[in-house]
Amino acid sequence: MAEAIGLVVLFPLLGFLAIALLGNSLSEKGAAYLACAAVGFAFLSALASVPAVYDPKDVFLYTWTQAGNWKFSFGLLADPLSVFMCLIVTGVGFLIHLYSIGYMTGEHGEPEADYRRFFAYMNLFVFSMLLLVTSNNFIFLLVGWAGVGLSSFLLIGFYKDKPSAVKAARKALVMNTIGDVGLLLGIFVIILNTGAVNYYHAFRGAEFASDGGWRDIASILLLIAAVAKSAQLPLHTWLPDAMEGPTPVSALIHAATMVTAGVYLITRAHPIFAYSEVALIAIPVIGAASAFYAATCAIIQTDIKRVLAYSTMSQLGYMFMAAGAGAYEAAMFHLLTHAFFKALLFLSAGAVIHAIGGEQGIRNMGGLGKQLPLARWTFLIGALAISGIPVFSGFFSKEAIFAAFPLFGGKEAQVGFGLNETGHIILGWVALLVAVMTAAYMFRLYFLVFSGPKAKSYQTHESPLTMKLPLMVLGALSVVGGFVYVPGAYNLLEKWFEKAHEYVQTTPTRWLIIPYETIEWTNLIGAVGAAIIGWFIAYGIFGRAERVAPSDEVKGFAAFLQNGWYLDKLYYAVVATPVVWVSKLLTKQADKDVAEALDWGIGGSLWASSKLIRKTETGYVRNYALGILVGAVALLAYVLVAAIQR
Amino acid sequence: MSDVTFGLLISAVIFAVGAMGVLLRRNPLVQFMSIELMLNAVNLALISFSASLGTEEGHVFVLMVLTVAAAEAVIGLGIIVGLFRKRNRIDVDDVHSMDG
Amino acid sequence: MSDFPLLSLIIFLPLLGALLLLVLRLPQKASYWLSVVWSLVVFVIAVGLLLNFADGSTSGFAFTEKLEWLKPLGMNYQVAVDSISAWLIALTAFVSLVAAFSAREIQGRHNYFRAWLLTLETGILGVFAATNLLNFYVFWEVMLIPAYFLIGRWGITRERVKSAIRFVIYTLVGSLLMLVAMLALAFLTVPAGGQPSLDLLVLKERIGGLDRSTQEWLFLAFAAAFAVKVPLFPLQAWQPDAYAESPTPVTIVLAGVMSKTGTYGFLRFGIFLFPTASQTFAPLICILALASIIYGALAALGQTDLKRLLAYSSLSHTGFIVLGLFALNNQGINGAVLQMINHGITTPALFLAATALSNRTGTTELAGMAGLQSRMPRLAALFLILSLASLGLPGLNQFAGEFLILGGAWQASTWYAVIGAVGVVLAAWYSIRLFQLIWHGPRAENESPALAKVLDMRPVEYLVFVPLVALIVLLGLAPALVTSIFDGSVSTLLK
Repeated sequence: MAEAIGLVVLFPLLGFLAIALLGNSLSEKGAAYLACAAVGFAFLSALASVPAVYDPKDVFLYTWTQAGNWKFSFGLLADPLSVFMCLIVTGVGFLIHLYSIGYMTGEHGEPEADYRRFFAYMNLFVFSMLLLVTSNNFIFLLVGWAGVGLSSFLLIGFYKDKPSAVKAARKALVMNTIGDVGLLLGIFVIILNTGAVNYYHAFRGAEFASDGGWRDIASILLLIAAVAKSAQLPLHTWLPDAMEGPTPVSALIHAATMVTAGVYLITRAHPIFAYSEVALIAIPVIGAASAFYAATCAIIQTDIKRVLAYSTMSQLGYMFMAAGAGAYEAAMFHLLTHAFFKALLFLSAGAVIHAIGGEQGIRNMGGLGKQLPLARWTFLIGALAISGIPVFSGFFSKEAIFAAFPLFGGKEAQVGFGLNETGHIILGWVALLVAVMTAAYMFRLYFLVFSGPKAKSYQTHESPLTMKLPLMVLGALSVVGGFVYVPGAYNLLEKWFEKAHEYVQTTPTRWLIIPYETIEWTNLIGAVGAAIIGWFIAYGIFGRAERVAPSDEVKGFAAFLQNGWYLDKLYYAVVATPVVWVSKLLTKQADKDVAEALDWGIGGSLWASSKLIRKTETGYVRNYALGILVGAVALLAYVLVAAIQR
Repeated sequence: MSDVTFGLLISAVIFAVGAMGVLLRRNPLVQFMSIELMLNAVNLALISFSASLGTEEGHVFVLMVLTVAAAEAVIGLGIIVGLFRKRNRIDVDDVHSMDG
Repeated sequence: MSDFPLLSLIIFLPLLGALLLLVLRLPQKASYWLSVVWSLVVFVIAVGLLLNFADGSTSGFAFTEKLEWLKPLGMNYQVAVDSISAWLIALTAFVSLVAAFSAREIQGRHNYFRAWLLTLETGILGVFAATNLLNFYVFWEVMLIPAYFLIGRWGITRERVKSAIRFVIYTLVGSLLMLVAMLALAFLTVPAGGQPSLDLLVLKERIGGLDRSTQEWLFLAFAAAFAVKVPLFPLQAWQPDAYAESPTPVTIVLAGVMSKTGTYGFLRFGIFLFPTASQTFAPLICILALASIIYGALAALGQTDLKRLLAYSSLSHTGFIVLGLFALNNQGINGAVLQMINHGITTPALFLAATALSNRTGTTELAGMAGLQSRMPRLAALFLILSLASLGLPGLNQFAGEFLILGGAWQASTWYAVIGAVGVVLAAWYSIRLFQLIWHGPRAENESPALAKVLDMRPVEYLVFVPLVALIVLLGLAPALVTSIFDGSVSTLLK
C-alpha cells in the first residue's frame, strides 16, 4: 500500500503536536510513551508500505503554489528509496526514542528538566526527516531539509542554560542554512530547465535535456546542500560541536536522521548528478577528503562523543565516495549498516556516560568494562562492525564500497566521464588508509574506556530496561544487518532497488549494482587486512598495561589535529568575525550617527537659514504694514515701467 | 479735469492718508479706522471707473468689499476688545509675541 | 450590488468610527470596545470584498466608483480594486483590527488615539483602492497626519517628537516630488484637443506618447515617494526610530501595512504605469533592494534593542519584496505580493510578541534578558515560531514568498538571487541570535526583580496569537490559497 507512506509521516507529526499542545496536562512519562508510540506506529506503517517498492507512485497531491507558469504540487512518493529510508529512520529512531526514556531519567528515576520538550523535539526531528525522504518534489524536500536543521538546532541546544550548547546550536543552524540556500538555488536551476519540481518530471527533463550544461550548476548547488547536511568538507564544523546535545540526540543525528540526508539527496537526484562531470569528480573527492580528514581528527580526540562524531563524518565520506562513483546502491547499503552500528556505538557510549554521571572525557574513564558489561559488549560489536571485521555488518557494506574502487586499476569511468582509472585507484588507497585509521581510533577508544587501569572509581548504577533493550536489538542488527549482500553469493539490494531507477527511466549503467557474482579478492584481503593492522596499532599503544594516557593538553601537530586542523578557527576569523564586526559598526555608526548627521546636516543648514530669515519677523504690526506698502509700491512701479516700455 | 481723474485723485489722497495712519499710529482702533479709509478709497476708485466706463462690475465689487469690510470689522473689533480686556491698555507695539 | 458603493463604504467606515469616538468621548473601556467592534465590522466587509475574487478568474479592476470633482483637470474621486488590492485591503483591515485589539490601555486622551488609528486605516485603505492619481495622493497624505500624531504624541520615550518630525519630513519630501510628477504627467500627456486626465488607466494608455527620458524622470519622482515609504536603502533613516518609538498598535500598522503602501505604489504606479522606465531602472532598484536586505540584516545582527532589531529585520524583508517586484516577471511579482501579505502577518505578530515580552521584563534591552525560557515556556515557543517564520523557514509563510521572489530574481539575474540568498543566511543568523539571547543561556545577572512572579501567556493573548500563528502555518503549507487568486491580476499587470 503506497498510501501507508502518509501515515509514516503523519504519526510523528501528531506525536509532536500532541506533546507540544497538551503541555503540562500530559504526564512526563505519558509524553515519552506517546512519542515512542508515534515513531513505533510510523515504523509499522513503513512496513505496510513495503509493497510500494515494486509499484512506486505519488500520493496525496495538492497545489502548493501557483505563479504564472510555475505551478507546483505537494505530494508524497512511495518508492524503493523512500521506503528504504523510512524503515531506517523509523526503525532506528524508535529504538533511540525507547532508549531516551531511560537516558533522560536521572539517577533516582526522576525525569530530567524539560522532559516533555525533549520528546516533542525528537518527534519533530523524525517527522522532518520522514518528510524529507518521502516528499515527491524538491520543495518539500527542502521543507523537510530545513525542518531537520531546525530540530537539530533545538536538540543540540537542549541544555539551554549552557553557553557552549547555545553557541553550538546556533552554529549548526547557520551552517545548515547555508546548505538550505544552496538547495533553494539548485531548485531554481532545476525549475528553469525542466519546468518541474516533482522528481518524476524533473529527472526525466534532466535525463533527456539536449543541452545539459545546467546540470553542472544544479549539481554543484545541490552538493552544497548535501555537504552542509552531511557534515562533509568544508561545511562540517558544526558536527563536532553538535555533541553538546544529549547523547540520544547525537545518535539520532548520526544514525537515523540528518547527516544521512546528504547521501539520500545525491542518490535521489542521481539522474542529475550522474550526468554532470563536475559532480562525478567533486563528490568522491570531497568524500575521500572528508573521510581522511575526519579520521585524522578522531584519532586524537579526548571526548568519547567527539571521537564518534568524527567517525560519522569519516563514514559519510565513504558513502559520498560510493555515491560519487555511481555506486548508489553501495552508498545506501553503508547508510543502512552505519545506522545500526553508529546508533549502537552512541547508545552504548551514552550508557557509559549515563552510568558514571555525565562524564564524557576519556581521560577520566578506563577499566569500566567490568562494571558495565552490556555497554562493553555492545560497544565492542559496534567497533568491530565499523572497522569492517568479517561477519559484522560493516564488513559487507564497506566491501561493497571498495568494490567500486579497485586498488590496482581495471576500472574506467562508467559513463565516459567522471573519475578516470587513476582517480579510482588513488581514492581506493585513501579509503584503505582510512580503514586502518578507523580501526585504530575505534579500538583506541574501546581500550581507553573499557579496559586498562581505572582513572577514577565510579559508583555506577544499573541501566533501566528501556536502555538495555535498544542496545541488544541494535547489537544484533549490527551483527546480522550486513547479510543482505554477500559477495559471491547473492545481493538482495539489487531486487529492492530495481524500480528505483526504472521509476525515472534512468539507464541502469549510471546506477551501479553491487557486483556479487565474483569476489574481488584483492579488495577483500586489503580491507580486512587494514582493519587488523588498525587493531594492532591501537592495541600496541593503548591496549596494554603501560598504555599511553590521553591528554587534553596537547601541543604542536596533535593540537592541530585535535582542533580539527583549526578550520573552525579559520572560519571564525575569515567569516564570522568580520561580519560581526561590520554589524557592530553599522549598529553603532549607521544607526545613530548617520541619522544624526542627516538631521544636523540637512536639518541644521535649514535651521541656520531659517534663523537668518526669521529676524525679519519682528512681530510689530507696523513693520508688516510697511512691508505690504513697499511691496505694493514695487509692484505698481513694475507695472508702470512695463507699461511705459510697451 | 474729468470726473474720473478727480475721483481717482480724491481716492489716492484718502488712500495715502489711510496708509500713513496704519503705519504711523499705534492705537489699533485708529489703525483700524485707517484701514477702513483705505478700503473706501479703493471703493471710490472702483465707482469712478465704473461710472466712466458705464459698466456695473465696479458696483458689484464695491458691494463685495463693503460686505467683507463689515465682517472684518466685527472680527477686528473683537480682537481689539479682547486685547484691551487682557492688558487694560491698547498699543499695537505691546503685541509682538509672534516675532521670530 | 453593482451600484452599491461597497469600496467607499470600506474606506470611509473607519473615518466615521473616528468621528464617532471624538463625538462620544467614551471612557477607556467603552472606547476600546467600540474601536475593536468597528474594526471588526470593517474587516468582515473587507473579507466579503475579497471573497468576490476567490475563484481567481477576475484579473482586472472591479467595483469601480467614480465621482467627478474637478473635471477640467481630470481630478476625480475614483476607486476600484483588482484581486491584488482586494488582498491588501483585507490585510489592512486585519492588521488594523489586531492593532485596535492590542490598544487596550492608552495613556492620556485615548479617544484621540483610537480615532487617529482609525483615520490611519482610512488613509491606507484609500491608497490601496485609488485609481485616480490625485485621489491616490490625497490618501497618501491622509496617512501621514495620523501617523505623525500617533508617534509624536503617544510615542514611548522623549525622543518621540524628533522621530515623528523625521518621519514626516522624509515622507513629505518624497511625496511632494510625486505630486509634481503627477501634475506633469497629467499635463504632458494631454492629447490634441483633449483634456488632462489623472485616471490611472487613461494615463496608462497615454504614457506611450511621452519620450523616454521624460518617462524616466517622472518614474524617478514617483519612485522617490515609494522608496521612502518602504523604506529602501539609503532612505531608511526614519524607520528604526519610528518603529521603535511608536506604541505597539501603531508600530503594527506602520510595519505591517503602511510599508506595503510603498511597495504597492511601486507595483501599481511604477511597474504598471511606467513599463519602459521600470525596465530601465530595474537593475538600480534591485541593487538598492539588495543593499536594503544586506544592510538591514547586518544592522539587525548587531542590535542590542529588541524593537530596533525587529525594525531592521523589517527593512531587510521589505527589501525582498522590492527585489521581487523589480525582477519584473510573473514569479517575482507574485512572490512580492504574497510576501506583502506574509510580512503583514508576521511582522505585527513579532512586534506584538516583543511587546508582550517587554511588558513583562520592563525593558526592550536585550542585555537585561537571558534564559527566560524556563520562566515563560509558552511565550518562548510562540517567539520561536515567529522568529522561524521571519527567517523564512521552509514550511512557514515567509518561505513561500521568498521562494517565488528569489526564483523571479534568479531569472532576472543570477547574482540577485545569490546575494538575496546571503540575506537569507544572515536572517537565520540574526533571528536565532535574537531568540537565543532572550530565551537561552544562563539567566542575566541584572535580571529585573519583576520577573520573579511573571506570568506566562494570558488567555487574551492567545486570542491574538492563535489566529496569527494559524495563518503563518496555513500560508506556508498552501500559499496557492493566496497566489491563485491574484495570479491572473499579476499577469494582466505585466502585459
